[in-house]
Formats: sequence, C-alpha cells, structure tokens
Amino acid sequence: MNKLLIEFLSGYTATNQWAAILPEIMMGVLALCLLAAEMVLPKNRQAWVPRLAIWGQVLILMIAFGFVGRCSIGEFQYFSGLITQTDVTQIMRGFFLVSSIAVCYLGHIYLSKQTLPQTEFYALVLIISAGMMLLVQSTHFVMLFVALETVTVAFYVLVAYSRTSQFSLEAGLKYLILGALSSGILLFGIVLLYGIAGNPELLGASRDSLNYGELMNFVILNMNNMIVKIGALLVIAGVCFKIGAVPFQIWVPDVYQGAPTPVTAYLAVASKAAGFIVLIELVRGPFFGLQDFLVPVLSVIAAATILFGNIAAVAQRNVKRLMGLSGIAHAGYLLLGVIAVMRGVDWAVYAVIFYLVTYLLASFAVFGVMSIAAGEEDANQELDHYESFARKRPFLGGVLACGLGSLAGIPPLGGFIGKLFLFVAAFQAELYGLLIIAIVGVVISIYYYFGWIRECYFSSSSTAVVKDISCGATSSDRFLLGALTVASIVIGILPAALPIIR
Amino acid sequence: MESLIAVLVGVLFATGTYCLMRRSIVKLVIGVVLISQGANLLVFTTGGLLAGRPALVPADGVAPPAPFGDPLPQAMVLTAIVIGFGLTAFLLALVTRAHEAVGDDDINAFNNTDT
Amino acid sequence: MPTILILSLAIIFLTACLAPTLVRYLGDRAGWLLAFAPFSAFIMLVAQAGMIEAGEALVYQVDWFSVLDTSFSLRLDGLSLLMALLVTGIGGFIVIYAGGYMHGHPQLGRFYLYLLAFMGAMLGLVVSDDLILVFVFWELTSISSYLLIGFNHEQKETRWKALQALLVTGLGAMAMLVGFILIGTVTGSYSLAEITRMGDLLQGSPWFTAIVILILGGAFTKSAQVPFHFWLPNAMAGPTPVSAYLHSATMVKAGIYLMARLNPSFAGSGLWEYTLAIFGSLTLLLAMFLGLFQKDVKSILAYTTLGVLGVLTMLLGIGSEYAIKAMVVFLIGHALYKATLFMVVGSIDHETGTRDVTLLRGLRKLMPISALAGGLAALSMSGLPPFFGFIGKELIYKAGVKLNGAELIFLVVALVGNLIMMGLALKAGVGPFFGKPNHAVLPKKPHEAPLAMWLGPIVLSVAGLVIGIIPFWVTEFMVAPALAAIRGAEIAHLDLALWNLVRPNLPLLLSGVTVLGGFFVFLNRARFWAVADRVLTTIQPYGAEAMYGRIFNATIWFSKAQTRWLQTGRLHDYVFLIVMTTVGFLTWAIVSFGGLNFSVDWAAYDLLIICLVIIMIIAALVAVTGRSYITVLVALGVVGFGVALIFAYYGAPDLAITQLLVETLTVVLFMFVVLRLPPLKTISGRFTRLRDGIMATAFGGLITILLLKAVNIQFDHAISDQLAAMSYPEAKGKNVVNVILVDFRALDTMGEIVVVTVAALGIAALVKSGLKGKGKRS
Repeated sequence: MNKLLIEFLSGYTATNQWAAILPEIMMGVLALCLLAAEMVLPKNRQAWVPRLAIWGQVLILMIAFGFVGRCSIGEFQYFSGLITQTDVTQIMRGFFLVSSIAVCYLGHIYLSKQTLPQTEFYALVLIISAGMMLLVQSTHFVMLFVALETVTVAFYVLVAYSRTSQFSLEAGLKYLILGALSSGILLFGIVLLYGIAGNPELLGASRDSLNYGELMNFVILNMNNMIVKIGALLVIAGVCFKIGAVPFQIWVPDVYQGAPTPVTAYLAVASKAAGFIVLIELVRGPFFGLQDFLVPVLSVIAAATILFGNIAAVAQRNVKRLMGLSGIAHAGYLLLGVIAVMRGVDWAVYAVIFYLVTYLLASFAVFGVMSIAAGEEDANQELDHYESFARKRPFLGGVLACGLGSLAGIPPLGGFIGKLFLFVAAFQAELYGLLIIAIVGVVISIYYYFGWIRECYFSSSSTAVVKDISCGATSSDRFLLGALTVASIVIGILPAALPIIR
Repeated sequence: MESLIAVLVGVLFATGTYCLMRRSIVKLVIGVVLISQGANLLVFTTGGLLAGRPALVPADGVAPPAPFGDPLPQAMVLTAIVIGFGLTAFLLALVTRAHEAVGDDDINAFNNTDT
Repeated sequence: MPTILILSLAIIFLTACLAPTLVRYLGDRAGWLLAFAPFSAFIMLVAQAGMIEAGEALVYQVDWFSVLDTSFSLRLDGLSLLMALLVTGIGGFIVIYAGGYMHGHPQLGRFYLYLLAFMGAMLGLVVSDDLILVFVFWELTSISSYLLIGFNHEQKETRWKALQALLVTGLGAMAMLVGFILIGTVTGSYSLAEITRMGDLLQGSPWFTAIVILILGGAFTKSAQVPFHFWLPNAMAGPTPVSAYLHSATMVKAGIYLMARLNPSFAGSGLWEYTLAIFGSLTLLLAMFLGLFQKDVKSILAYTTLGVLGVLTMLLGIGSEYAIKAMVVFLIGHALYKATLFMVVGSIDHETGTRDVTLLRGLRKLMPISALAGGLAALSMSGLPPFFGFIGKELIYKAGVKLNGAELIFLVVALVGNLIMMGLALKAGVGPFFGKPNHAVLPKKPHEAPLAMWLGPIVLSVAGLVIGIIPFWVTEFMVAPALAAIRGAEIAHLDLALWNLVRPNLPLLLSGVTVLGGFFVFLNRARFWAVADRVLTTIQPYGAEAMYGRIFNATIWFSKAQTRWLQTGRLHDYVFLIVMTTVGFLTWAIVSFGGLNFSVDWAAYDLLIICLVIIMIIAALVAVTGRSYITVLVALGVVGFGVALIFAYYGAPDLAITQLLVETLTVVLFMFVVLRLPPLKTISGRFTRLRDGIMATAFGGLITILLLKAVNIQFDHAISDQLAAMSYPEAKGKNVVNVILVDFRALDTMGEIVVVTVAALGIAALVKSGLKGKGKRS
C-alpha cells in the first residue's frame, strides 16, 4: 500500500520526490485539518481537536515507521541534495513524533486549566514537529536555515502562548529577542562560508557551496582559512543557542520558567534533541576538516556547560527553572558524545540518541507530573509545594521519583545506561579531563534531584498541612505517565529493547 | 564593489544590536527590524553586486545573458525578507499584548523570572 | 542449579513489592511472614555450600547488552556465598525485629519495601559477576540506604545526614564506575571472574594507579574509611534495625567485599597493599579514639563498626594467609555480634526511651533475655574464648607477629585498636545491664522486649558462641572457600579449632594484654565522658566532616552568586552578554588567525549609491535615537525603502518589489500598534548607553570587516549559472529567481510560507478570544 502510494506520488514529481517527506507533509495537513475542525465543530464539541491531533499523530507515527524499514539501509538524497535521509533521521522522526504526541497530551492538560485559544496550540506543535524532522534531515544550509526558522518562530509563539500570564509574555519576549540575535549570528556564519567557499581563487571552490557535501570538501582543502574557521564557529554558536550550551544558555532558566509547562517540555526535549542531531551532522559533514580546531572549543564549552548547569541548579527552588538548569547540564553531557563523534568514535552518535531517548522518557514523566500538579499559574511551582507529595499522590510521586532518578542516572533506570554509553564513548575518545568534570557534575546533580525526591517523600513534620497544589490524575494520565515510567525502567534493565544500540 | 554595502550592513547590525540592549520594549521591535534589514543586505551582498543585471531570461532566449546578479542568494533573500516580516509582525503583537498585561514598557518592570 | 541465584533474588524483590499490601492487612505481624523470603533464600544458598567447597562456582548468565560486551551474569563462589549468607541470614532476623521495633508505625509497609529492596540489592551485589551489574546493585544499595536513613524524616538533621551519606557514597560510586570502565578497557572484559585472572595485565598497564585510586574511591566511601568515615556515625540517625543491618552487618561491608573480590588482581603491586594497610589502620585508630568519648550507645557501636572496617581493610592490606584468614573470620564474627548488639541497643532504647550510657544501668533483671544476648555478643566482641571473636583476634595477632621491620607498626595498631574496642564492647553491651538500677531517671519504665525483638539477638549471639566452640562447619564450608577466592588460590583445609589456638605463645600473650587493657578502659569510662564535650568540640573544626560541610556550603554559595551575576533576569544584560561573547571571540579569531589585511576599492561607486548609503546610515542612527514615533517610523521607512532601492539597483527587481511591499506593511502595522503604546522614552543611564554603544559598534565593525574579507573577491557561482541555464528549458520559467523559488528550491519556499503561517497563528492566538478550559480539572 505504502509502496503504491510512493510510486504514484513520485510519478508526478520526478525531481522533487515529495513522497520522501510524506510524514512531514501529513503533519502539515493534520495541522490544517485541526484549524478547519475548529471552525466546523460546534462549541461543545471542541474537545475533539486535541483527540484528532493526538490520534492523527499516532497514525502518522505508524505510517512513518513503515518508512523506517525502507530507509534504514543507507543514505537517500532528495530535493537535489536539500535533504538526506539516514537511519538517524528516521529514528529522530519517531522521536519527534512521540514527543509531539506527549506535548499535545500535556497541552491538553494545561489548556483545560486556562482560558486560551486551543487549536492554534496543537497546530503549532505539529508544525514544529514536522519542522524538526526536516531540520535533522537537511544537508543544505538554506534548508537548515528555513527549517530552523520555522521551528524557532513557532516556539516564540508557543512560549508566549499564555497571554494572560506575565511570566509567559516575558519569556516569549526574551526568547524572541535572543533567538533572533542568535539566528542572525547563525546566518552570518552561513553567509561567510558561502562567500568564501565560492571564491574561485581557493582550492576546491564549490559550485554549490551551501551543500554539506560540497562544503565538506572545500573545508578539508582550506582548513586553515580564517573565514572558514570563523564561519564554522558562528554556525556552531547559533546551534549552541538552541541546545542551551554555555555561553548561550542564558535564556534557558527564564524561558523554561515562563513558558507553559508543555512547551517547556517540548523545548527541553525535542528542541534540544534536534539541535544535537544538527550539530552532529555538521561536525561529521561540512566541518569534518576542522576537528583539530573545533574539538578544543567544544570541549571548553562542554566543561563550562556541565559545571554551570549543575552548580546553578544546586540552589534553585523553582522546579521549572531547576529543570531548565539541569537541562543545561544534560546538554553538557551530550556534548561529550558529540566530541566523541568528532574524535572518530562512530557509535557515539547512537549513544547520543540513546541518551536523548532516555531523557525524553524521564523528562516527559516529570513534566507530566508538573502539568497535573500545576495550578492556574504554573510558572510558580516551588520545591516546597511538593512537600509530602508522594504521600498524597502515591502514583504521581512514584512517577516523579522514577523520572528524577533516571535524570540523575540512577540504575536500573534508563538514564543510567544512557550516561554509561556516553561516558564509555567519551572514554574511548580519550576525553579524560571532560569525563572527570562530567562525573563531578553527576554527583552534584544527585544533590538537587534527590532534593526534589526528598521533598516528595520526606516532610519536615508528620502533621504538615499539605498545600493542595494538585488535582488528581485521570486514567489516561495514568496510562501515559505509567507507560513512560515503565519504558524508562525497561530500557534501564534491557537496553537492547531499544533498537538503537545493538 | 561591496565595501560600501558592507559598511552599511555593519551600521545596521550595530544600531539594531544597540536597540536590543535597550529597556524600552518598543526599541526591541526597532532593533529587530534593523537587524533583519541588515541580514537581507548581508545575504544579498555575498551574491556579488552587479549593477543593473537582473537574472531574467530574455523573451527569445533560453538563458539570461551573462554576467547577471547571482540568483541563488536572491532567492535566499526573498526567504529572509518574508521570515523577517513574519517575525516583526508577531513581535509587534507580542509587545502590545505584553504592554497591556504589565502596564509598563520597561522590560525591567517584567522581572518575574528573577530568582 | 544456577537458577537458584536468580530465584533467590526474585523472591526477595517480589516480597519487597508485596510488603506494603501485607502490612496493610496484617499490621506488624507481617514481619514474620516477610522473613520467609530471606530465610528461604538462605536455605537455598546453604544447600550450595557443598558444591562451592568442592571448588566449583555457580554461574547464571544471560546476554545483556553487547556494546560494552557485558552480560547479566551472576556467580556464586566462596566469597559470594559467605556474604550472601550473612545478608539473608541476618536479614531475616532483622525483618522480624523491625516488626517489633516499628510497632504501630504508620509507614511500616514502606519501611519493609525499602528494607527488602535493600536486601535484594545487597544480595545482587555480592553475587554479580559483571562489573556494570555490580555498579547497578551498588547504587541501589545507596539509594535504599538513603531512603532508610531518612525514614524518620521529621527532623531536618536526619534528612541532612541521609543526604550526606548519599552524596559521599555517590561520589565514590561514580569514581568507581570510571575505574570499572578503565578495567574493562584494559582487560577487555567486565567479568569479575576473568578479571581476577588478569592481574598481570592490569598491573602492567599504565592505568593501574588510576584504577586502584578510582576503585578505592568507591570502596573507601562505602566502607567509611578515613577520610570518608564521618557519614557512618551520622547514618545512625536511621531507625535501629537499619543501623543494625545496613550500617554494621552488610552494606558497609560492600566496600570490603569489593576490595576482597579484586584482591587477586591487585595484590602484589605494593601500592594496593600499603594503601589499604595504612588507611585501614588510620581508620581504626581514629574510630577508637573518637569512640572513647561517646555517650550514646548507638554511637559507641557505630565507632566500633568503623574500627572493625578499619581492621578488615588493614588485614586485607597485610595480605598474608593468616591476615586474610583473620579477616574472613573477623568479618563473620563481627556480623553476628554487631547485629546482636545493635538490636539489643534498639530494644533498650525502645523500652527505656534513652540510649545514654551514663543513665542506663542495672537492666538485667528487667530485660533478662536481652541482657543475655547483649552480654554474649559483647564477650564475643571482646575476643574472649571460647567465642568466635576470640578466633578472629588470635588470627590477627598471628598475622601480626609474622610482620617484619617497620610493618610491625600494624601489630601495634591492632593491639591498641583491639584493646579499646574491648573496652567499648563492654561499655555498650554489658554496662547498661549491670550496676545499681536507677529506673527513676529513665523516660519510660522498662520491661522485657517482645519476642520479635529478642529472637534475633539471642539466636545470633548464641551462634557466635557455638561456632566458636565447634568452628569446623563454618571454617570448612565458608571460611576456606572465601579465603581461596580472596587469595586467588585453591581451597585448602583450615585448622581453626579453639584448642589449637589456646597455646602459650606470643599471640596469646597479646590477647592477655588486650583483655587487661580492655577492662582498664571499661572501668575508666567515666573519665573519658567527663572530658568528652571539650575534646570533641576542640577537634571538630579540623575533621573531615567540617571539610565536607565547608565544600557543601561553598557550592551553595557559589551557585547563588553565579545566578546573581549571570542570570539577572534582565533581557538587556543577556543580549549584552551574548554580543560581548561574540565580539570577544571574533576579535580573538581575527587577531590569532591572520590580521586585518583586505583591500577596499572605494573608487568604483556611483555617486547615487554613495548618497543612498549615507542617507540610510543617518536614518538608522535616527531610528535609534529618535524621540517621537513619527521620526522613528520615518527613519525606519527610509532604511527599508533604501534597501529596496539597493536591490533594484543591483539587478534584483523581484527583491525590490517584495521589500517595498513588506516595508509598507511593516510601517502600517507599526502605525496601528503605536497608538496603543506609551511615548518613547530613554530609560537607561548615560553610562549604560555608552557601554552598549561601544559594544554594538564593535559588533557592527567586526561584521563589516569579516564581510569584506569574505567577499572582496569576484565570484563564480557555477551552481547559479547551472540553475540559470536550466531555468527555461527545465522549468519553463524566464525569471530565474522565481524558478528557483517555486521549483528548484520549492521546499525552502514551503518553509517560508509556513513561517508566515506560524506568525499569523501566533498573532491569532494572542488576539482572538480564548476558550475556557472545560476539563474536569479546572
């Protein structure tokens, strides 16, 4: 059936193979359908919009997984080199779909407590998901920039979505300004590379210098050119903004706190993941020749990121900021994997993806609990509000503890195996100094993750008046959160259950 | 040929960045507008500047007569212009909304996300 | 039957999961039922003793994950069996005891869950053969121990102490994990059984020193060796069954176990032996010194535990056959008497309401069974014949007298340590039961503890006596195989009968000295208490714990300071920081990679363009400094239309048209919005504006310079030529730019459209009326 469809579509679009991005197109169409549904459905039937969004994505996920088998054998280029599909991009398709499904669900919880327009939220989540899928597939800087802007602009909107909350508006404004600045820096880097790589006086000057492959050849031949180095670094700086690496981490805590919790989760998980895959593709592709130059730079960034994130999180009491700051630390660990890739440890790519998957499972569990526990203004959740949480809500408390434990890398949860893989990869890449810093970071992180668990399970007095911050979990909440937690545990015990690292 | 335009790009970026460092939220919009103009020119400049030679295929020909302005950066600039416009429009709406919600145009008055 | 291993693990973990339910229905009688799990595991394991004694090992293995070549493998040899029997055997009695001790506690179910989960983790730890698996169980013991120490979490103090234990052991565990990865890389295997056969390979590797240090980082923190000793006495904040089980009999031995397990690989290097012996003896001496001044019975026991851990480490370091033999015997003996003593102390605390030795006295009439158990255990701990503790102590002296030269210092250390330990044993186990009763000062009126609380102590303490008198079974089936595993040698027969040890020789003389000295310490106990507070407060600021506290507080302080400096919450600071970083980096790059040489050809410009650019620059400056909206909007308009003119001039009519359109729309939107905004004003001070101005100018200047460097050469973009050439024939379009947009780069154009759509959706979301959430939640 799939095959027929592909043949049919490719018959009509000989050069542009639109069929190759069928899942992305379907996401776009689904987004449009949601907007149409809002207009068609009567006021009392609007609850169908989130259902349509979620089940539609489940369907797309199933169709997309039909593609995994087909494309996992090798590399396929489409749109005259604008995008390239590999096994990594296929896995990431699934990753983004799962996260956008989860975000839609959390969004449903969130929006039911607010007086806000609903449909736009889901439509934007879908567009972002599709944008990120294209982002990780792009092997051309023009494509990269456009996909990145699509995703980023949509995130500006989502961050500021809660228009009645000062927190959200402020976060949106901050994210937009800093994001625009970083996009400017990224664009400047691209332009420098384009300018220099088109210079016919230089060896290997390219005909299509924004294509990853062409640029890679050029860079290898001109690895000492100053403009090449600066251009590459500016591009990487732009990506570092997205993944929240020092010194571009500065927006993270404020934006994470102000954004609606589902959006925070989306930023923390999917946006960061997309940034990392892009970074890996850049350092494996166009910047392959610059390893000697980039490895020290990225190492410094990784060390600073790990230390900054962990140390800043220690004294943090607001849980959303805490997740943001600890997310910075996770970005630091993931950078270890990226550097390992640059040092020739090829399987480190899969270590990074594995880590991202465990991070997804744990983060959505934690953010899910936060969404349910949140009151009308969800930016003000403090650690103190979670006092004796587990006693009141044993199920949610357990989910939260497992999620935080996995983030802290406690065996036998998935996060532990993720860290193990990353550290082994870093070890094989001989990054001993970074490894020590990462270890110190992990120990510090035990303090604040367990500080939160401690709030949940221990209380300062047995008769404490427990502040009622939470509504109960519905059965579908339980299903989703339970599934995430079970998946975390299963992956921790049987890493082979996830067909990423074989 | 590009030196003068390069200076102009630098000025636009400098003034734009300066505006982004202001506390008045309206200045932020001005900054974004200036930077996006600068970015458009920046991309355009890398294509090489050739006066008065559009990349148009004459009515009776099959290819534009060389030399002509590089069409690829021009296509990118079109993209950039449109993105910049979308961004500016949304930012305007956001700033208005934020001003209504906070009742002040000083970004420091927002400071809710202080630790 | 290898499945025995997985079965015994499963039974304990499953029981742990069932515990809360059982407690809900049975109350504190559930303990009796729950104890079946450890006892049945104990029986299953005991049944394997014959096979182990014959020199075989029980191996259970399934594939786990192949990247690291690790497998889920469990292995039972002599050492594992010994540890596993201690874990399950003592564990069973602890479970029963806890039912009595925690009588009526509302959270008893959760307590059992944690306790049994700990037991499973500990059992898993000692039977794991894979290093990664060892680490997994190791961390599980840390976590469950954290939950157990912090169980009485009402006091802030308790929670702090629980966290301290977790952080200290967590730091060590992470170091150990790196050590494991190093071992795996050097030997190519994560299997302990294989690694212990590759001692030469490990010791020859350049990583050897690092491996030893990292592994010891894990072992020393877990087994509370100097300078990480401080968490163990603090961990006594947990309920007494926890102290009895985790912090004396089992968990703290995990570090000892690991060192013993890896001993065959590391022994013979010198580094290993001396490090262990020196740190072990330091721990012993420090623990005994501090123990002298303690007044809380539980603290006294905690410090003796610390001392015993020091002795065990020291013996492992000495490493001779006698020393290892002494270590194994001492380990068993200690587990039996220390668990007993803790439980007895718990009973005393439970019944009298105090643990202060200066108040407790003459309880033997009221608590006869506890008194008997405590007395037996204390005598065993004192090392008096015919108790099992005596055999252990004799072996220590036997090992000690074989030492030569400077190493004899360890004998002296052992003597001093044993002597004080005996004094402390009597102080804790005998003191409270003898003397003139003074029940009036006790908070509660004491009577004998219930059955659940004296069963374990009496069984374990009597066991210590029985195996002292007839040690054959224990030495043949437990000590000898364990000895073989630790030394990496064949299993040999041991002759540890009591009557062989009681001969007039130097070790026996040393024992006599110990006994005399021990009594001396016991009788003078009050003198130490008198100065206790003064001594302890004097040395406290120099101790390791104070250091830990300082590091901890410094981290918190630094965290807050960092946040205050960097995360100010002000957008303009953030922008400034990012621009400053970029400027700094670009300057560095330009300076270090090759200067500012580029040529500028100013002559080739039309006057028209020169004028246009100058006007635009002025307009941009006006847009920044303008004070009224009209001025600013006009200036922005000039910039925008100027850009359009430049597009038009340089052969891009499409761009010019689009730009004009967009510019017009922007200005209109601006006008529309401006009416709702307050007048423009200057908020920042003069200095800030100057600072920002300099930074922005530097940024713009660098962009200009780089742009000039990148593009001051004539281009030859063949791809564009190609696209231009293909434009009409392939796509039937005469405007190349348009063809690129809608055909060759259609995907980009899609993206561009999406961006505008997104912006429109965003504006809609900000402006349109919201739908009140109707969920059940609101």
